[in-house]
Amino acid sequence: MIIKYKCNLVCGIGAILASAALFVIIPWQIQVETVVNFGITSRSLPYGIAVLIGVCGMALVTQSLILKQDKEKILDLSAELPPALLFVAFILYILSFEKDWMVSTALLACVTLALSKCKNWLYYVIVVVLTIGMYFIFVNILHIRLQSILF
Amino acid sequence: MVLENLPEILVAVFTFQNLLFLFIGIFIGIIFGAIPGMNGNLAITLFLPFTFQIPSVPALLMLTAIYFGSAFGGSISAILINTPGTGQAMATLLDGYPMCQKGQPHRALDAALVASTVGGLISALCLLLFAPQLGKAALNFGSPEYFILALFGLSVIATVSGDNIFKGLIASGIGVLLGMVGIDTISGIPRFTFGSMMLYNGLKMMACMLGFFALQQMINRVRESALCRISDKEITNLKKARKDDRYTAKDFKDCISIMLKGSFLGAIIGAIPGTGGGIASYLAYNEAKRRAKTGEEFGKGEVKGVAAPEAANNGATAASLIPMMTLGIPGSAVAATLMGAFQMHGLSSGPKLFEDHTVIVYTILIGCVIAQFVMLLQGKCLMRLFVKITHVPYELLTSGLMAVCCGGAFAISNRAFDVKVMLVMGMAGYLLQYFELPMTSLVLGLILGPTAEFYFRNSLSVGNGNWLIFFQRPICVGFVVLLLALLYLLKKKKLGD
Repeated sequence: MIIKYKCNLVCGIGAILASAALFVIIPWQIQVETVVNFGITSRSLPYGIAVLIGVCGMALVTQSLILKQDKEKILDLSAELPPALLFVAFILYILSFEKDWMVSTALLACVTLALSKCKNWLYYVIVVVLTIGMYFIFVNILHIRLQSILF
Repeated sequence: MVLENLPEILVAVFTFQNLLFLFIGIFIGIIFGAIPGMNGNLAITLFLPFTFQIPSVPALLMLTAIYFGSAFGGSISAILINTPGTGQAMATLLDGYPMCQKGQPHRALDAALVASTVGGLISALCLLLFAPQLGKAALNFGSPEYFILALFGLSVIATVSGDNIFKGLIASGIGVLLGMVGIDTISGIPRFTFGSMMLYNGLKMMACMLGFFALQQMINRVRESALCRISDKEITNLKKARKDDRYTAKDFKDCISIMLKGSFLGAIIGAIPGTGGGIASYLAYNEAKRRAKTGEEFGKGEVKGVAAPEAANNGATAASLIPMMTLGIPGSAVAATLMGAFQMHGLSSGPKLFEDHTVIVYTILIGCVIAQFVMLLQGKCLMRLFVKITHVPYELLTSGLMAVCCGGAFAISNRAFDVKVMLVMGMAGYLLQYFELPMTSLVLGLILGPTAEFYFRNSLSVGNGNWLIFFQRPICVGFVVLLLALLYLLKKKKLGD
């Protein structure tokens, strides 16, 4: 399945929505300090950035709709399947690596190989060995506290 | 102050540990530079987390050496497979690949190596001589000047924004917002923490950079590999070289003036924020071509056509660190990453760097000079190995580097949270590229945004709320004028491009 979209237009609309979202999030996430120095608070720059993003978004929409300066991009959803599956692998990795870094990382590396359509089994062995090697270097030489239930 | 510390500096430079890490840095840099699609910035980002376990000097020497090595490494694939390993090596392939086709791969590679060494050496000497002077002059700076300098750095966004400045601004805005997460340093108020204690300390810059620069590339590679768009190009076999294929003293003599010219051109261009080796190499190539004598056929395998761009792009390397080290302005993506590396090792870039860390900084500067000789040595002895490494399959590299990323993110501060940040940023970076938002602008915003805000608010405190403070101090006014001039020149350059 193929989706065609105008890059500047979509980016512009996204920026305007992000700007609007920021105007909602900022008062919720940033308190106002009791002592205000010369009108500048912790919220000032975030609001400034929200305005900047909104203005740039409007400029992009104007470029696209009025000045007709835009390019049509094609998003091939079938080509996006491997990255989407990799994203799922990332989420599973986030849930598992704190329990066992070595196995999770080796699995993630193998999934990456599989999604790259690699059929050479030797490569899978190499990345597993690499991960095990990295684990031992990390733990024994660099003294980084990686978790593993195997060792 | 330097003379007082000279014995200590020299002893620090020539320790086994420092030389070893210089050697490793150059080795990694050449490999990452030689593999198309990889670059020095990616290598620095990947290896930075591992350097937290070693002292600052060898760590920073290794990271800067990676940068120098990658600038030369790009020429290997440009010469052998007609694909520049890095953008800087684009001009090298114009004559490098034809030389290779003529059966002179050794001559071309050696010409590139010698020119890279000459360029890198001149650039490193410029850094050693001029950076401390500029740093000394910058000691008079106060908060308003620092704020304008941060804006100066952010102006680089204009050059890295691709076709559309608005997208560059949006990306840098996102970067600034990411940099704001955590406790506000001035008021102590938490910002964008969403009730998470982990976010109170802010997002680690390194985790974000690993996500945006490294992981995003890995995801792209998986996509391309799945589509079978990455083909293993046949690499010219060095054994097929002609018998007379060698770089001679005559070649060196013929090229020396062009190399020197290219080196100085590279150093000058490299020192200007927002430019870089790519522009310098094309200018040097054009200059060499313009002054070609009869019989020299540029574009058909002329040795000078390799020497000129290589001298220039390596000439730009160390010089590009001058504004970063002295003024805190990262003039390029690599300089931004290195600035982050300096910060993470407790060396805040800027005028006080030379005063506060004299021995460390001079050790690194002298190390930059030595790195060029190490590069020459490695290039001469290990060229066959580098050529072989460019054969390593993409999918194996991608999956291996994915594991390195996961370990590296954890190593930043021994906490799982940074790995999660890296993965989220990698996914976000991948999605943002569909809107053509430039990652370099985002990272520049992430690095410079909080600095700019801090000095802006400090300046207003110093000036009792008077906004004109930025236009009342002579150095500030000078920088504002320079900033406007730079923006004008960048705009002009962009129109020219």
